Amino acid sequence: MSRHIRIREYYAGALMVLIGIGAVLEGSSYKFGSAAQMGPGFFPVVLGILLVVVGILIAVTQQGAAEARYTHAKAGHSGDEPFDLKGGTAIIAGVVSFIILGDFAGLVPATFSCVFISAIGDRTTSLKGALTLAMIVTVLGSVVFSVMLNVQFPLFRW
Amino acid sequence: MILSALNDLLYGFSVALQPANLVWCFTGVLIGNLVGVLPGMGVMAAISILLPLTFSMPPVAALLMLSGIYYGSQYGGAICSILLNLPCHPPHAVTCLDGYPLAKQGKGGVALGITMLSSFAGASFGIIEMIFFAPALVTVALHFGAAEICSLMVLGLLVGSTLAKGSPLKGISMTLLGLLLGLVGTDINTGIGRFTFGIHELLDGIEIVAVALGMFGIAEFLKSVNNVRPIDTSHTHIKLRDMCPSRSELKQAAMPMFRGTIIGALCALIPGTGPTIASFVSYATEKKLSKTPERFGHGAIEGVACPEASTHSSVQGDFIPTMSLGIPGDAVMALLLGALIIQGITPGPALMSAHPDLFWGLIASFWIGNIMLMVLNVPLIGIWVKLLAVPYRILYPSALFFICIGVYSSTNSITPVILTLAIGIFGYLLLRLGFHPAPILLGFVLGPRFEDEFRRAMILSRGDVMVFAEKPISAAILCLTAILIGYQIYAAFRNRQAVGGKMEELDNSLTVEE
Amino acid sequence: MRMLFLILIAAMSLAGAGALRAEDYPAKPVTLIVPFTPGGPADSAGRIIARALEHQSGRPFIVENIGGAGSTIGVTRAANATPDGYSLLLASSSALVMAPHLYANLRYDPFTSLLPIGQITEAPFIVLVNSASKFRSYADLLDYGKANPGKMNFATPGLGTVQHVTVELMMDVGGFSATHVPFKGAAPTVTALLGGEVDFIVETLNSADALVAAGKLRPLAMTGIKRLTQMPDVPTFQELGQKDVEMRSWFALIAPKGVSAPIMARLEAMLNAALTSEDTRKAFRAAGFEPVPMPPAEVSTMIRREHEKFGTIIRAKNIKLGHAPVSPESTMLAGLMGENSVR
Repeated sequence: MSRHIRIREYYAGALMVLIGIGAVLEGSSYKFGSAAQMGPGFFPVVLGILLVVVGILIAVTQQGAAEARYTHAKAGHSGDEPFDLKGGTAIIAGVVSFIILGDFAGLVPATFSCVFISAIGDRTTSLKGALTLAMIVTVLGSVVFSVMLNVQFPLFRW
Repeated sequence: MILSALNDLLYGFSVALQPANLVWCFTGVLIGNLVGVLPGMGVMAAISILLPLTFSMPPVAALLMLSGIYYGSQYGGAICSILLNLPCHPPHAVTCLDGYPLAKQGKGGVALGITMLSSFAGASFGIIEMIFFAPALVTVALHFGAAEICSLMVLGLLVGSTLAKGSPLKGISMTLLGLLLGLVGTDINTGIGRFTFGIHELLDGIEIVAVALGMFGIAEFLKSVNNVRPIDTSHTHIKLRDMCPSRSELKQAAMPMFRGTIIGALCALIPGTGPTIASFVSYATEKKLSKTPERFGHGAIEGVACPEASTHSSVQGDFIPTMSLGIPGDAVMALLLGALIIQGITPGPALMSAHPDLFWGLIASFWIGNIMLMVLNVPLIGIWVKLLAVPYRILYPSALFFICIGVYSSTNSITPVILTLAIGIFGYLLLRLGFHPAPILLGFVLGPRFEDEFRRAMILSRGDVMVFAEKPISAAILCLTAILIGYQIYAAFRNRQAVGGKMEELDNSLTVEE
Repeated sequence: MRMLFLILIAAMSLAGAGALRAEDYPAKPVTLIVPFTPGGPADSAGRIIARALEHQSGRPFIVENIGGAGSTIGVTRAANATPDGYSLLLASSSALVMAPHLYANLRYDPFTSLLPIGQITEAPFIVLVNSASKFRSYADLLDYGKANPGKMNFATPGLGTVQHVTVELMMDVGGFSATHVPFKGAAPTVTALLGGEVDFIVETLNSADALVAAGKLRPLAMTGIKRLTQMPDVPTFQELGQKDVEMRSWFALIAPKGVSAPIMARLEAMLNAALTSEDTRKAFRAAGFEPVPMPPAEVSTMIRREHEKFGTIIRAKNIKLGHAPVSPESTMLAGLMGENSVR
């Protein structure tokens, strides 16, 4: 466990370093400017450099590891649940379906598919349960958002 | 002076208590409360929709109702943050930190009860501040130029970034990430698009709800799906008596509540971003002052009381520059002023004497509205808490839909939903790597303003960085920041040894059990 | 109640689609696009004129706020709307005069994609200083600026705004210089002036009136031809001998090109009737505007004249913005510079 957390901290630091480098690279393509007239590149570059420094510190000091070990040991559970492939995929697919159907078919189909697809990701949900839930949310959602709150989202776009 | 203020206030109550005004005030807080509960639905949207309706109303009624929406939504927002871990308004991101763990422990009702109390206390203080200190505060606020605001933001960013669970370094890295995210979009000073990677929709920047609901909503669902243990609802009593916080809990929350209101009142000097800074700073302060800081983030009642108190005291303070100078501090205030202008009332320093019914009526209505919100919400807590009894398999798909439609409604376009999904997946990665996303919101909210003020301060000083040390207010704030950092490093060093000691004990006890 | 209203509107707009004769106009609710966020002066002006037109026509005029990118997003939307008279635009110089000079490639042409119906209001800019300032007259400010080039600071609501160009013109004609401090919007520039952070700003009457009356700000000069009735003591630049400093902020009612001539005539008549009605004039005055009707042909010439005048200043001072704005409705989003990082 402790080794696992140490590796996690290396990854965490590395991710920040990567993002920092990215910010510096992208930021340096904008004008840096002078102190009196700062260009649009000043802040991104400075922030990127800071992020690289902090990222290295995260990996080196392993501060997070010590605290994580402490709190986990105390709370008696591990904060690291493995990624649930079925559930996770269903959630992502649900939102994707909302995006696609929302753009082409309207609010009603988008809502239905979003709720239905994400609901079947749960291992305790039956197909019928997911269908019922999707139907209820679709009706309620259309009434609340489209009729009552007047959100500009056509119920159907055919 | 105090006497005349009280006299005016009495007059204000006589205006606000007129039946028609009472009804409008109630309508406003009710709409606000409901809109606040729906994740992603903004106050701005609600006020813009209802603005045309107010044209046919008398000015006082219009103002009472529109302001009611604004502060009413703050109450609603806290409910979602505590029960579902979904902060739709940045200040409430802090309330999530301890509110959600409390809810998971079956103490959702208590958390909500304390929230309502703190909100009311904070709002009341903000109102008193507005009555007695408005002129003085405006004078002070005018001395807050670019350099002073910058220094204050540095303080807020540094203090705020260390509040999350886990290491302060990780908190700082999240704040920096938030600042970077805030840079996405068109640079105000030059009109150049930054970090848009050729995606033109990004030129207008990332919507705040996309960041909040992606980081807290989608990321959290990805983490919890099929992994979550059902929330223990056997402790979740729904009788009013059981929702009242116990005497010891009240005692625990009292001082944080008080300190929160003071911090909130001070942060109201920076309109717009005030509530966000206030809630982060007050939480960090409580954690520092606490004898048991390790409880924070795991369901400390103080961690709910202080941010809510400070948010509300700061929200009421937002009205001060708007009402006494006629200069709106943020977009919501601009809308309220717009409503007045259309009614033929010119907001400005003369408002108080030219339209005393409006000014004092509004202040009195704040109190009445806050009392209404209490009365409205306390019985509702029982109903809200039942949300926790909803099985996760039903909860997350429904919440996912609310997130999608909420984000969509922020700009009436599908693009932010795509962004929310991307941010959510990235947020899940961050969660797995042991980061806590709350400071991202802080950085994201303050980032653009911070850069703007910093660049302006440098233009005004003709590029001399020493300006931050030469201006007395700014220098004082920076000194405070330096002291806090110094203390932080010292504490971390000391803590490390302490934690090391405890770790050995724990390791020993664990091995024994094995 | 409002819900019912909206449903009714939706039903009516469905029923009302199809060809319409001018005498029936408007047969359904009209959308007035205000290309600024709610709450600002443009929004106030838009809502007042919408209410007045509603009164004239007996049909709802619905204000739709589409802000962003120097008001060009909303204007793009209006320019591409169906030219049936049911989508109108409240425009100002930002989009029609300034934007063509500032943005690389706009998706509308101020002269060919839009048709003016008439001017609604106009207001001169007033040079304002803090009442604690040592400048008691415009001559004081001018002398100081000449003796101390670049030392004064002036605030504007942003790069390439009318206020910015106005000050550039003042400096050009007066032969002095000061440092530009851009803000985001007009409100914070007033705060900065009140706090003494900048030395002067230029703003219209509606942002300044209350603060001048309260003795917090001092007006030094104004950019109109005639003195203002509300501020009879403030001299014009004409009187100060700087005739070229003549600037105004205006709002006009605009239609997309292609609206049939009878409907345009009907709209012009409605606008004129609205602007001469005492109620509307009172509403505009209370909000700090001066209703000044102007026929379409004159508005066109005025836009052309300002276009040239501002263009000269913008080119001379090399004021540039990076790219054209985004149009929110199209997902392809053409009309932008190909590369995202403009150097």
